[in-house]
Amino acid sequence: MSWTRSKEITSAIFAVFFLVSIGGYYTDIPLIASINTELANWVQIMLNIALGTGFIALFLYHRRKITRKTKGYPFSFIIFAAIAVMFVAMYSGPEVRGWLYGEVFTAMTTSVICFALFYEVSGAYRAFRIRNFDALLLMVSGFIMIINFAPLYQSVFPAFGAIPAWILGVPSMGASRGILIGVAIGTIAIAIRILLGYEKAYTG
Amino acid sequence: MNDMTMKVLNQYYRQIIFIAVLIGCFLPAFIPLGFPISATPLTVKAYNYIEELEPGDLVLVSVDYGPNAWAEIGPGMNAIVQHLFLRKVNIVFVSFVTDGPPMTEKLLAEIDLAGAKYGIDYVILGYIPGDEVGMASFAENPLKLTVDYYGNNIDQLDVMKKVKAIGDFKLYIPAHITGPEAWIRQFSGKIQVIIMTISPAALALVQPWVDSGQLYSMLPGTKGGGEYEVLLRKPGIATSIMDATSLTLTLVMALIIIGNIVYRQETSRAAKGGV
Amino acid sequence: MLKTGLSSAFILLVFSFAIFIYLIDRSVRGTVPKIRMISGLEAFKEVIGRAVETGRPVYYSTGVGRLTGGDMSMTVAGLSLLGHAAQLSSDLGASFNYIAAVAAEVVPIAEDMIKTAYKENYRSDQITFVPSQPALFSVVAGTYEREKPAAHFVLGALFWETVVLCEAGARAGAMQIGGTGRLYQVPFIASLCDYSLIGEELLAAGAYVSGDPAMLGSIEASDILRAVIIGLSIIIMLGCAFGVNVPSLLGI
Repeated sequence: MSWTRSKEITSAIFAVFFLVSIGGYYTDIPLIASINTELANWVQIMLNIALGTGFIALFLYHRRKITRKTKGYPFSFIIFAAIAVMFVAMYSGPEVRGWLYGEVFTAMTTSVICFALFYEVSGAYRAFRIRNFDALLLMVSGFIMIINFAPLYQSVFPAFGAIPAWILGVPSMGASRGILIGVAIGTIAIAIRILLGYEKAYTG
Repeated sequence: MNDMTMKVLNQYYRQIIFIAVLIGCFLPAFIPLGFPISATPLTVKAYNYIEELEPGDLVLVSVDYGPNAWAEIGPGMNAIVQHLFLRKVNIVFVSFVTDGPPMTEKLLAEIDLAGAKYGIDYVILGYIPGDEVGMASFAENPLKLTVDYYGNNIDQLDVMKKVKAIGDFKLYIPAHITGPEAWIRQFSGKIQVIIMTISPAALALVQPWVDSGQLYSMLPGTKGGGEYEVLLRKPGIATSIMDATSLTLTLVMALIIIGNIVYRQETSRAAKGGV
Repeated sequence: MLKTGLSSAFILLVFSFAIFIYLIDRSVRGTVPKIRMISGLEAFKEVIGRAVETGRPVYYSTGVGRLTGGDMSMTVAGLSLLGHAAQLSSDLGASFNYIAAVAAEVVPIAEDMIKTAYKENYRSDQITFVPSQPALFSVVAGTYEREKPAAHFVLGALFWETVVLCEAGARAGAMQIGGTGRLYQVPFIASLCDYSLIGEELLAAGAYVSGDPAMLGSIEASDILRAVIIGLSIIIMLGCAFGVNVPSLLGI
C-alpha cells in the first residue's frame, strides 16, 4: 500500500480542500458552497476521532512506562488516577464538577501561570537598565505602558490615559498592521509551498 | 547609596523583587486600598451598547479560554456577562476550545443570574471541535448542533427556537487570550457587533481591528473588567485585583528606578577604577 | 460569480499566488535568490562554542507554536534552525536538548533532525515533550536550574512562555538567541536575549540555513509582495492627502 503514502496523494488532497475553501469564501456558487460545508463537517468528525486517538496514545505510552518501570513511572499512576477522577467528576453532578474543575484545577493552573509574573518582573529589572539611548527609550515606553495598566494613575492624572492611548492608536497600530500583513503573506507562502509539494512538514 | 546596600541589592535582587511582588499582590487582599478606577472610552463604548439591548435580544458568547487564561480574562468576562444577565437578554454560550464549557459553568457560578432560567433565558451549547473550521461551520448554520452541553434536544429549548441564522444575534462576545483573527474572519460581517475580551498583552495586536470597525470594542482583561464593574456599580473580583495591580506595578517601577541608580553607581565606580 | 465586496481581495490573492508560484518555481529550477546573512545566525557558532568550552548543555525550544494556521511559518523556521543548531552542536561536541511543548506534531520532525545530526550518538532523552504551557513553565524552571545550560535558543512561534524561557536561561547564565514573529513577544526577546531574530528575520534565517530553494524563492516573493503593498499604501495615502479617493478608483 505504498501509494497511499505518496507525496502526490497528500498534495492532491490538500489542493482539493484548498481550492474548495477559497471557492467557498470568494464565490457564491451553490455547488462549491455545499461541498465546502460537507468538507467542514468531515474535518470536525476527524478532529473528534483525533481526540479519542490522542487519549489512546497517552494510555499506551504511560502503560509502557509503568510496565518497563522507566524513570518517572510513579507519575504515570498519578496521571491515570487524575483522568479517572475527572472522568467520574464530569458525570457526577455540577457541584463536584464545578469544585474540582473550577476551584482545584483552575487554581493550580493559575498558580503555575502566575509564577511567570515573578520571572517577568525580574526580567524587566535587568532589561530596563539604561545602557544607551535605545535602552532609555525602551524604559520610558515600558513605564508609559505600565502606567496604562495601573488604573490609579489615570484616575489621578487623566493625561496618563491619553498618552498610552495615542501610542497604541498611532505608532503601535502602524507596527501591528505591518506585522499582521507579514503574517498573512507568510501564511500564503506556506500554502503555496504545500500546494506545490515543497513543504516537507506535510508531504514528508 | 553605600556599599553594603549596593551589595545587597546586586546579590539578592531576585529575592527583593519576589518579596515586593508578594507584598503588592497580597496586601490589598487584607487591607483594601480602594484606589480609584476610571473607565476608558472603549469600555464605555461596550457598556453603552449592551445597556441599549432590549430584553429578549439574542447574544452569542463564546468562552474560548482555559484555566491558564482565567486570571487574565475571567474577571473581565464575569463583568460583561453579568451585565448581559441584568439586561435580561437571551444568551447562547458556545466554545471553540475544549476547556470552554467547564469555564462557562465556572463563570455562571460566580455571577448573579438575575433569575435567568436555563433553556428559557440562556443555554450552553458546549464545545464545537475544529478550531476555525468549527467556527466557520457554526457561523454558517448555528442550528447544526442537535443537543446542548447537557444532552438536551435544542428543539426543546426556548432560546434556540429564536435562532434561525447567525445574523439573528445582535451581539457576539468572544473571549480568547491571543489575537482575534480567526473570530473576525468567521463572524465579522455576519454578526453586526463583536466585542472581544482579550489579554492586555494582546492589546497592540487587536487595536487595528477596532480601528477598522471589524471589532466594535474590546475589553482588555482584568483592567477592562475592573472598569466595567465601576460602570455597572457592582464591584467584584476585577475591582479587587485592580488594587493589587496598581500597587504591584508601582513597586515594580520603583525597583526598576532603584536598579538603574545602583547600575549607574557601579559603572561610574568601575570607570574610576574602584571595585 | 464573486461575492460582493470581495473582488479586489480576490484579485490581490490571485496576484500573490502568481508571484509566489513564479518565483518558487524559478528558484527550484536553479535561479536561487541571494539572502543576506542574518546577524543572529552568525552568533549560533559562538553560542554553541561557549557550551563546548564550559561543558554545559545546549537547550533549544520552539515554544508552543503549532504546525497549523498563522503559527506554521514561524514553527517551520524554528525547526529549520533546530536542525542547524543540532548539526553545529554535534560537530563541535556539545550536548543538545530540545523541549517541545503542546504541538506533538513537531516531535517527529525534531527527532528526525536531531538523529540526522547526532547519528549513532542520538539518545531518546534529548527530546522532552510537555503537553501544556503551564507544564512547560515548571519543566523549564526546574531543568534549567539543575542543568545550567550555557547556550539557549528560543526560536519559533512563541507565546507567554517567552519570558519564562528567557529569564530561566538568563538565571542559568546561558547565552541566548531568541526569535519570533509575534509582535507582543518581541520586546521580551529583544531585552532578555543576547541576540535576536525579529519578525521576518526568523523566516529568512530558517530559509537561509535550510538552503531549500522553495523557501528562498518564497522569501523573495514575500519581499516583492511587501513592496507592492507599501507602494499601494503610499499611493492611497497621497491620494487621501490630495483629496483623491484612490480606493474607489481602483475598485477596492
